[in-house]
Amino acid sequence: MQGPEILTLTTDELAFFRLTCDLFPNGESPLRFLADDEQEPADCESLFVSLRERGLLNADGSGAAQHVLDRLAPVSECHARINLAAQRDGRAPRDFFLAGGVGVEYRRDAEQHSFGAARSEAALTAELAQLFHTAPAPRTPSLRLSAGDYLVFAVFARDLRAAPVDQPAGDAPMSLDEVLAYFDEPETKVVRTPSDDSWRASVASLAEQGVLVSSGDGHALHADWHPLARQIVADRQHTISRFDFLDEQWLVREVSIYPTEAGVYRLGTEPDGAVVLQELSTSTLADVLGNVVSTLPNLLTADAPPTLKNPQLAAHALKRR
Amino acid sequence: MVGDGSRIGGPPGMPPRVGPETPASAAKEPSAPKSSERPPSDSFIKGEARPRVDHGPQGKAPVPLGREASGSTDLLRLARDNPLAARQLVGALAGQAAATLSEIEKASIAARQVLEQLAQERFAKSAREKKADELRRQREKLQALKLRHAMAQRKMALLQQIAGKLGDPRLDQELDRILSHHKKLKTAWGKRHHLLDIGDTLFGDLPDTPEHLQQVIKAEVRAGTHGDEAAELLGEISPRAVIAELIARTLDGSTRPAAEVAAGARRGELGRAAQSYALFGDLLAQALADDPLGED
Repeated sequence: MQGPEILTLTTDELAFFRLTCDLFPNGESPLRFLADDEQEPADCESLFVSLRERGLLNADGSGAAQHVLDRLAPVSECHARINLAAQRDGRAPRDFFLAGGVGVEYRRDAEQHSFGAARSEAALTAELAQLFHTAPAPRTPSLRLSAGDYLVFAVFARDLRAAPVDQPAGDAPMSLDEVLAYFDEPETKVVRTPSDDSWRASVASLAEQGVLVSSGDGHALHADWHPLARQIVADRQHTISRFDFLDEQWLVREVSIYPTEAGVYRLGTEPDGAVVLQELSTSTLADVLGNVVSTLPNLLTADAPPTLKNPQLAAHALKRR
Repeated sequence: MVGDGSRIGGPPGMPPRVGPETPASAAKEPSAPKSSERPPSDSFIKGEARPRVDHGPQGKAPVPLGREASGSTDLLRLARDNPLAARQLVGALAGQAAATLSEIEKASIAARQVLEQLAQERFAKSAREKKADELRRQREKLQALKLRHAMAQRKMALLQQIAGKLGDPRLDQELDRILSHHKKLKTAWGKRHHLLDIGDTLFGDLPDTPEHLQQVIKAEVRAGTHGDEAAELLGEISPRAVIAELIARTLDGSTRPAAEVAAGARRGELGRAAQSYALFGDLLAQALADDPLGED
């Protein structure tokens, strides 16, 4: 979190705002410690002067100015939290706290507490989307694969990675026997695992979908998938999660996104168990993030929207139906 | 049964919950298989390991809600079985919330009057000492009112946003089976296949879940005042995120040592969801450290 729009307060200053009845942190708030420890400001008089000089108090000095309250309230009285965690990029996870459809980023560094600007969920979605550089249209189709199909896909990707970069596509196809060699160690019969026939079916299925191309006496990964297959993607995982604090039940939504030089991909599992590889275009990225970031619609109204996706796309889908 | 013999999902050190409990098989009646959407080579996996129930000619069987032990159970059931009553309850809750809001405004004005006097004296120590008790009373009153308001709002949101149309994730119920099956597997590829193949247990399963709720997971959290900690932990050990990582690492052959999960979560101190995530997380952690397609 950086930039001129960041409001930074010390723990003592937050305690002052607790004293002035501007802070009522709930159980899910990162400011909860103020209430738990019954934090009192050490030197109220000098805090009062410095906060007033910084323009952080209201006109009569009896509490926080409105623009300060706008940032404090979503963090202290949050109903939801959005977290962005990136693997090994050296940065701490980012947390946004939401109340009433407004989100504020919050970060604590020892006794310094930083509050980002208050923004709508749509603005938050846009901000998160800007972290990724997507292509206007995906170069590869979305894949929904069984676990077995995905392992076969990975075998071909790994074979490609092991080959020289300048080797022409399809120059060294993998035969079925070479694929089966990856899985030749026998597995227990107690748990259902794929057999040789299953692996063959997986190769055929991937070939049918155009993921593999027939070449010589074997198959090779289609050239469209080479950029993804040649990269280390796992260390670029960005997971965006939203927790809605509803009663004792929390609702959890999340998506894992992998930016690569070739494009931005979503990897994960679907409710039907499929493994998904989806290259995200600018609009599908907005949909995917919107599905995580947006407040869920009210289903008790007759005109409840069928989807949280981009409204224009949703309208388009409805028209097509 | 796990660890010390306590049941997964049960509170630590307490016997399992007693109450009307549907049999495991009936509690998790999955929706009709979407066979047309599945790749043909997948048929060897699905269906046999976890038999699906024939819903008959009507296509839909009565849908059990599953075991929900929290106070929100009745709300969810109400929203599902009787949307009209749920709407009425939402109306009543909205009325309560509005009344509470009005009380909050009144209490805020009273507190503000005290604070204005303090501001006039630049929050001098002597002035604060004089008003300390009164201000504490006002703050505690406001705190209680705000809590009441937040609870009403959350109940309303629960009724409106889920409306009883979101199933419980099956991980809680199937964790024992998953762990025991995984132990029986001998090969690295067999173990990886197993983990990639159980993604659907992470989701709920009701036939009429709207599209936008299909990727939403309900998690029972008993965090008390540690909600901040619970959210952080659930984010870190979320099985969906770890399985996504597993998918990526299967593709690129990379590995990483996994971090320890807080013991408190494993004991169930933060609720059933965090406990399941932590126990399943141990399995996933081992998997992240191995490359099943690499050379030994």
